[in-house]
Amino acid sequence: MEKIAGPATTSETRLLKQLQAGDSAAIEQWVREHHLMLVRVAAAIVGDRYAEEVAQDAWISAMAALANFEGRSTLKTWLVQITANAARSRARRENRYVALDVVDDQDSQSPIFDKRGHWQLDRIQWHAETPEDLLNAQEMAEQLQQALDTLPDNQRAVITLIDIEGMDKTEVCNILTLSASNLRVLLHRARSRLYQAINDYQESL
Amino acid sequence: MLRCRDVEQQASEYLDQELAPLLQLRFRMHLLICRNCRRYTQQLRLTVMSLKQLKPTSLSDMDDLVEKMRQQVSEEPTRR
Repeated sequence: MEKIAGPATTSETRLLKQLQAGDSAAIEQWVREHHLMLVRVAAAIVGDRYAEEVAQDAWISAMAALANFEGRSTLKTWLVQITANAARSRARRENRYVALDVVDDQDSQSPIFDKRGHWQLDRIQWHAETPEDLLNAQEMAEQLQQALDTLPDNQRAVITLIDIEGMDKTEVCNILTLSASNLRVLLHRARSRLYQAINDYQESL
Repeated sequence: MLRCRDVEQQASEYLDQELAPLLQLRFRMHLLICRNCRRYTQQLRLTVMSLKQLKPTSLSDMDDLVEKMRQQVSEEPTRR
């Protein structure tokens, strides 16, 4: 079932007006809030080397196009779309296209199961039951952040858009030109790696 | 009968409620009898929930970018 984002909420309409009017504070907040997400999207398409530059260019294009924003999607989706397009055209220019598709990596070997398909080692109990508990430990939060930062680009973009930004999967498939099944695999691999990073830390306590 | 390996592979779809009803049922049945998979599934859910609360790392200085965008807006009316 396809879920279309928008029409814009009241707060989004207000933000749009502020941005179109050139409200400095609103622009600054908008950029700070979303820049990292755009860099990750760009990195998934064109690679780390050009990602920051592409994201910056995307912001400039977005500012120029704001007057024509029609609200057919949320501002966030629109921004991500602009960035993905900019990254694709940069990739063509640099003759450097990162395939977003699933690539076989070592992930499938971990976690470990025995021949009967059972867990080889018992799952340990974590010292946290809520996200607040978990992230309360500064070191844990840093480890999770680091695990996220070091995910393969395609996994990082998918988990950022879906689990952190809460975007709709169908939208993300369209923007990143991924099939639904590839998106599922990338998302689960990303989550598994982060799970593993937390589990490693919990084991060390 | 699902094996733990299958549960691990389908856990994201289970959490996102995307499994077909019969598979969802089988998954739940497995969780009832397997403490390891119960723990794993809860922990994976906690992982996903924690991500939403992770504060973004501070990025390289964005002041230049913000300034460029402000200038662009202030120049805009003269271009039209």
